[in-house]
Amino acid sequence: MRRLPAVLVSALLVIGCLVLIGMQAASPLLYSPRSDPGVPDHVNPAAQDMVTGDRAAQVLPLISDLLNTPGSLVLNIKGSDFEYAARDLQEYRQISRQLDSLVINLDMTEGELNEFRKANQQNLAILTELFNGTGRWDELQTLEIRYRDSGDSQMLTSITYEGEALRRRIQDLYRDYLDQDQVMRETGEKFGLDTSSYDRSISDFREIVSRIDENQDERMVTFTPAATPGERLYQLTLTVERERVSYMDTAVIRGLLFVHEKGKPDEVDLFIDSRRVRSISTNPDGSFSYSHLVEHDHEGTHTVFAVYSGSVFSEIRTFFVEREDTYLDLEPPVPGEGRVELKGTLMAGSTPVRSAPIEILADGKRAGTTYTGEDGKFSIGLKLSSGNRKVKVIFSADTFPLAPSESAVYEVLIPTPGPGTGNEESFLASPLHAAILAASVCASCVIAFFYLHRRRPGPKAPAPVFHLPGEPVPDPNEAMQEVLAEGATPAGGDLARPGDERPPGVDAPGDLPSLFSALRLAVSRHLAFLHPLSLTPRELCRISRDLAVQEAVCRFTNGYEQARYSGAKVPEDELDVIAIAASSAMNSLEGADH
Amino acid sequence: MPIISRPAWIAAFLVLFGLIAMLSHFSGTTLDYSRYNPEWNGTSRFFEMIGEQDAVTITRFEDLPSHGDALLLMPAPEDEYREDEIAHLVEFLEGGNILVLVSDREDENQITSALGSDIRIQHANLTSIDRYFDHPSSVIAFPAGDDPISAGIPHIVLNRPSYLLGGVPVFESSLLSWVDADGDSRLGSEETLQRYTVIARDSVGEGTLYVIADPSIFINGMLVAGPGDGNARLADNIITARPFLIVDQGHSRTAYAPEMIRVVNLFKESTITKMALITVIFLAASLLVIPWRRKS
Repeated sequence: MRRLPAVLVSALLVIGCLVLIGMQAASPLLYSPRSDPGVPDHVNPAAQDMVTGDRAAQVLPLISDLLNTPGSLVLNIKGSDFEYAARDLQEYRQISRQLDSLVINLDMTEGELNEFRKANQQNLAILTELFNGTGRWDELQTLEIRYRDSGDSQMLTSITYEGEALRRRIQDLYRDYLDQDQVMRETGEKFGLDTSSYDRSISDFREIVSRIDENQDERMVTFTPAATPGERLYQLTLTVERERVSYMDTAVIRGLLFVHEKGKPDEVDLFIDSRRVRSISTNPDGSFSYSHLVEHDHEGTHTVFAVYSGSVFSEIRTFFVEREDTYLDLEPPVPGEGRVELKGTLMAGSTPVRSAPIEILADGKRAGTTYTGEDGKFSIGLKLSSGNRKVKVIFSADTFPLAPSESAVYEVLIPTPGPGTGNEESFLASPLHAAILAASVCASCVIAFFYLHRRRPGPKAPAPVFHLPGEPVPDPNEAMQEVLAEGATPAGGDLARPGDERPPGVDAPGDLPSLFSALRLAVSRHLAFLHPLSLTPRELCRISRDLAVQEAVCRFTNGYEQARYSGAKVPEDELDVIAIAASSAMNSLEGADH
Repeated sequence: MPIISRPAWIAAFLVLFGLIAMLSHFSGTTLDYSRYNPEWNGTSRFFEMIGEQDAVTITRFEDLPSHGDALLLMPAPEDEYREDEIAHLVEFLEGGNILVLVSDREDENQITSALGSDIRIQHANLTSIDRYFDHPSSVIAFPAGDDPISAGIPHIVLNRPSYLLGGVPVFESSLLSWVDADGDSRLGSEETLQRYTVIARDSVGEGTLYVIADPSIFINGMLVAGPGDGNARLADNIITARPFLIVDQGHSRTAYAPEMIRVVNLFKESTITKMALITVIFLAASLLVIPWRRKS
């Protein structure tokens, strides 16, 4: 009963610990920097990953290179050094790609740097086309000399027409190049970079345009249509009904062939921008028409001419494609578990834009692409990670005569997918987790089995109970109860079996453990010592120091220790002496007790 | 001699351990900027450095010296300043001393304007591509010119800083920095890239005023941040700039601590109280040991 408070306190402490552990069981991590990301004034540095590399040191040299390379490229084009120009163009393309990657990696897909990137992309496309166009122009110059020498007027006409288309296109390219000038120059100046090379590229470009203009003017002046005197100037005439068109407008081209056989249809080849677009059958009266749908034509001037039988050329006509603004409407996104549904429409004025690529941006990063249908509508379901996401869609209008546009930004809360249904796997969905769980259950079962079937030691034998002569022999069960109540193992070693009635000492001098047990009990009883079984031989000797039998007790314990623990065999006569000492001590104690 | 059982030893050890843990707990806090906070958001390391310089802490500006070899550090101020206090600061600066004001709050513009400086703190969400941690506001700043406190420091790392207008720039963010007005951590179409001053200086009389637009650079988590320990070197340059270092603890968030911590730290920091505590411990131990010896 004295132990009850201690047991209660211990139990309360154990329960308290279990409750504390239980409170953390759902989230066993007590502390992690990630769980303490920061306060309003500062973020926890330990919760952040470190960023490698000096980013400004990567960006600024790239911008500098992108401002310098066009200067060298246009200079080489102007000097007709196409080998070096090709090398410059390749280098320019590589640097541009590096900037594109960097802007995406730095998550700067908006803002000034992205504006610079877009302008540079335009410049790259313009200069690539300039490189190809001027290369073709130089070929035309060579061909012109050859055909002029051979007097091939038909081929000269063809060259002149193609030259005219090239001139118009290069003029358009120059105009587009000037459109990028402000962004390129301002970015360079803002970052403290030298823009003189870029400025020089503009003047060189202008010189290329002027030179091509002069050459083509000369060619046109000397150009004489293949017509005999007395006949009309052109045997094939051409008109364009609308000279200014925009997206999804139709440029109607009509013509009349005078040199065909009456009543018999014939074939006329129609060229737009020096590319043959269609062979058209003429009507019996020689007339023909073609409706050109403006859909993927670039903004600017386009040349049109027709050729009959490879030798009869029409005059050159042009039409101008105007750029039209677009409107990209995004309906409020519908979030689902780990995904979002997006719907919207792309319109150019009142005209839907069909088959147009629509890019979806989530938090500024490209999350997917879809295409509009015939009605300009689009819809897409996207997987997104859970949390608040800013979503918008953009139309970049690369191959359309349309202005780019983007939708409004919507903030969408993407719910976390349920266990086992979304991106995050449930605990048992992972084979590794399931295997670990199964292995631990099996191991627990095996350990439990062996624990339950372990070899259990038999019941502890009670210590022999010394009873003085004349006393009734105690019940063996009582002796057992006493030993169990003490809850200790005899320090002296072996115990006599309960019910062993052999008198101690003299009757069995070789059974020293029994003698020791009997003497220990006798001394303890005499001294009212409560825990006799805890006494060692030396302690027995020590506690007997105030007794008259101390000498006999100590003689016995000394002999007992020597016989028991020295390992040497003790002679019989010494055993007798020891046994006599024990007997004498017990007899004396018996007398004293009575 | 009585035998002391093993459970008793374990109990004694646990009690001792508990006492040490309790004292350790009560001697620290988690208050932001507190000098008694040993966690990442405290300034205990910074104040250890200050302590090594035999700095004097003051709570009233009347105690400021007038001679010109002192530096007054005002880390993370919070309260408003009275006119007489500012007059003392003006007098201190005009005496040729240095005042270092470390704050990201526009409230402290009251001090700078009263001191006659044109430095103004602009509380904004300064963000940069040049960052040390993968967080937009972990802005790296670079020396903007020669100055004693930027000597030998390639760059420092800031943590949610404001920026400064006016004065002479001492540290600036890189060109790829912007004020993230819409809070999306990304450069938006309305946000412009430019360099922002984060540490500036200005002359006031014979003295010099430095304003640092981010007190977070001196918290424990940031003091060793960045390659080359730029923040620690900046702290060292500041506290060793003049032979006499004074730290304001009358208006600073670094002085914040619950009363219990003040008492515990009073014991920790005062030699007299330490001696008294040791005496009490020995006395208590002897009171326990003597009867035990008698009994045995």
